[in-house]
Amino acid sequence: MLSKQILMIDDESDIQTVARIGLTIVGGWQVLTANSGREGIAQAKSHVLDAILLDVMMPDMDGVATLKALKADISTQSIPIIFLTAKSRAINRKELYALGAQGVIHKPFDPTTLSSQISGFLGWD
Amino acid sequence: MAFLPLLPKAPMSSDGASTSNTDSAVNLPSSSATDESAHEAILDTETLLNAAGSLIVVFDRQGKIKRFNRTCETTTGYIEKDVQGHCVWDFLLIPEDRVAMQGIFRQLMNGQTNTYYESTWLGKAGETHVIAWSNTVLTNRLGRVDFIVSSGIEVTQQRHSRRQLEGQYRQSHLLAEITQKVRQSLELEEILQTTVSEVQGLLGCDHVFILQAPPESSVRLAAEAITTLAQGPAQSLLRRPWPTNPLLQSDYVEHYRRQSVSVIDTMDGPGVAPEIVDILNQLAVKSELAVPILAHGHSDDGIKAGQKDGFWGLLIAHHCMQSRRWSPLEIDLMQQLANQIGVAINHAQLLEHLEDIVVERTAKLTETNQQLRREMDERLRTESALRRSEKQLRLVTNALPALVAYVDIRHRYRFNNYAYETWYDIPYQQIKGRQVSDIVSLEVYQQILPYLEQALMGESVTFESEMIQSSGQRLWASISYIPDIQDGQVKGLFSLVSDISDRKAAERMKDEFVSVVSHELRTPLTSVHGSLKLLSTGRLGTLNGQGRELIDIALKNTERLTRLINDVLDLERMSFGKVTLVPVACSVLDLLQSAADAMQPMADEYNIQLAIRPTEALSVWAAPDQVMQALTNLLSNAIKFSPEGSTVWMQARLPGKEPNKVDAHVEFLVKDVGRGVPSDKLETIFERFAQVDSSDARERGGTGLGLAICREIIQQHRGRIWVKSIHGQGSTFYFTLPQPTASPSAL
Repeated sequence: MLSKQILMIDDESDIQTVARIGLTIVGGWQVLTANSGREGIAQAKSHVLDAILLDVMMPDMDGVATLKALKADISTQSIPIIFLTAKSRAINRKELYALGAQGVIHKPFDPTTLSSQISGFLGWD
Repeated sequence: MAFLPLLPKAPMSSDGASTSNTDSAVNLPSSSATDESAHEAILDTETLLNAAGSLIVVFDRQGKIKRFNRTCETTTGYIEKDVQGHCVWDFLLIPEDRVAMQGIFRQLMNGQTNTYYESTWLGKAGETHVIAWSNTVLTNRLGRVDFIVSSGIEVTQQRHSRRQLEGQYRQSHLLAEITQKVRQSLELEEILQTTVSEVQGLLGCDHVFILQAPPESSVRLAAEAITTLAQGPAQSLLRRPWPTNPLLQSDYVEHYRRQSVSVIDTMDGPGVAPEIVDILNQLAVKSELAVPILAHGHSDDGIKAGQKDGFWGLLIAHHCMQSRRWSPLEIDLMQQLANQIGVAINHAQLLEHLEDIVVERTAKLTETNQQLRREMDERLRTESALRRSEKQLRLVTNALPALVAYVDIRHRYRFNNYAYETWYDIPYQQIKGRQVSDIVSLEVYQQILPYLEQALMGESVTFESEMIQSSGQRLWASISYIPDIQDGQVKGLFSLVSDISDRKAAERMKDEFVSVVSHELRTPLTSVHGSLKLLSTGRLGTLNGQGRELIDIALKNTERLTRLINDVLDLERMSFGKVTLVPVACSVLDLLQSAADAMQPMADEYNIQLAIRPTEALSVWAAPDQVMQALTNLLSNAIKFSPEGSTVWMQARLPGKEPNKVDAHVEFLVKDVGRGVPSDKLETIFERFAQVDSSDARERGGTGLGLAICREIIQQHRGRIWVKSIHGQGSTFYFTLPQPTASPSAL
């Protein structure tokens, strides 16, 4: 089984690090990171990705806008997107799913189970 | 009318002029032999004197009668010899005229001639003659009066007639006067008094009075006239105060009740009833004329038509000085007066009756009037009270910034307050009677229409809506419609619209704050927690025992922090109404099972059994996520505080008392055999950060907000939450949730 290639878009570098370490050590996946929506889109266009972990609350271009942009672009629209959100549990989930996300993970997340959560959302294994 | 003369029965000529005898001729003295001497005899004084038809008397200077002619003789009954040498005032004149006569004589002696006067002579038989005299004095050469020749004509009859005529006239006049008075005046007392006074004067008797004999009470003196000239014992008796006055004794009156007119000329005569003789004698009455007065009877139920006249009383004239004859004229007058009095009495009674009726009617009218006035006052008071309360309503509602209105079933405004003017820029008085769709914009009308209709079906609604004011300004409004139900029918609705833009803005700010806070808190926490988690795997290098312990501690506390943040934010958002619960019909069994499933890992960790007691297939009207949250909180507590190996039970049921009541809530319970809750903390345990003792939170990892969140959730579902516990033996936490009902209502 090929290892997965994940792009993580989050403006917090610490969180990027934690996620990256978790995904690589536990999941054995490859992780690319981007600090902003724009950077993320650029990355997505230039790499083959199995999934994108997308933070909701980002300055400038937030998660929702980023998702819309990714979905609007033919080269990136088929990449599954999983949101990471620090907002409270209840409401946003439906809205986020309605936008086309395939998963919502709440912060703080457990990096040791992050890969299995993502697999669960996307039906891997 | 016929009349009886009061003079002796001397033959009279019809014109009343007196004639000396039946003969029209006077025999000449027989001493003359031839016709010549007969003619000369004419000139003889004696013959002339005695031939004269008038009375001729010759007086000397002392007033003594020298000659007394034949006419005098036949008139008076005295012969010349009887009177010669006497003065006329000795016995010829009636006493009343004597002094006057002497005066006249003196005048004549002083030379005043041709005086004309009348005097009344007394005839031998005591009869009176009224004579009109004219006098001539005979003087000698020296002018001294030697003789007086008086020539007179008897005018008795004329005087009598005149007096009679006068009397008749007075009577007629009196009768006419009384009649007129009766017709005009309604004052019975006045009429009665006038009658007796006038009659008394007319008849010239001592005492005229009217007695009234009412049927059920004693005789009463109705009117009285007493001559002021009455002297002697009669007077004092008459003046005796009643009721001791013998006249008022009933036998006196009774005597006359059955009679018609009673005429007593003299007490000695026949026909004077013995029973009244005493009375009359007591009063020294010599003559009496009593006439009954007939009038309608007194009756309380008023005058009946055609009622027969009954005995009312008596009109009585008494003469006490002496007996007198009552002339037919006088008797007739009394009868006529009695009739008039009867009429007057009838009038008076009728009037009284009418007056009574008028009084009664007036009283009734007054009462009706007063009642009307009272009702009017009442109505005015009610109206003014209504107006006042309407005014107050306006004052109050106009002071409110919210829109207050009453809309009828046809969507027309029936009342609206002043605030409508500022919202819609229309003078607020112009809104009444207009349709809602006229006043609000089309968009808004479409928004509110379903709620309007819902309210007009009888259901209160409250909702929020964004509206545009006439100025273009957008605002958030909270709108409530409350149906007005009278006699089971919806007549309209009360509308309350308040501007909640501020609140919305505040909520939005709070919302943002909460978002920001949650994001800001969770972000670093993610890094800390994530890092520790990764370190604890051991894949990044192993730590010794103490090192691992420290990592564990750090991890545990970051997890606690996370939970705390979640709980705090949850609670704040819930209590500010930000979390809108969207209730659906949930299967109770599903809820219990899901909660059990979610908590199974934790139960396993603590070695606790989770069990669901037999539960009926019930449904509740609730937001499933929140109910889950509550259940899991309760289960978490139960697991934490239960001794190892024990069981935590869950159940849902309808409470025993009124299971069939329509709006009965379903009762959930979570039971454990843990350490329980002290009785003084059974209420406070649901408050934020309340712990049974201080060691709890740290040991068990709780945030202190779990039960507070449960309570908030349950209360938002309009349920109740409580705990029953015996300290040391365990606790059972209960909460209730509503069942789905036929008509939905917003929570």
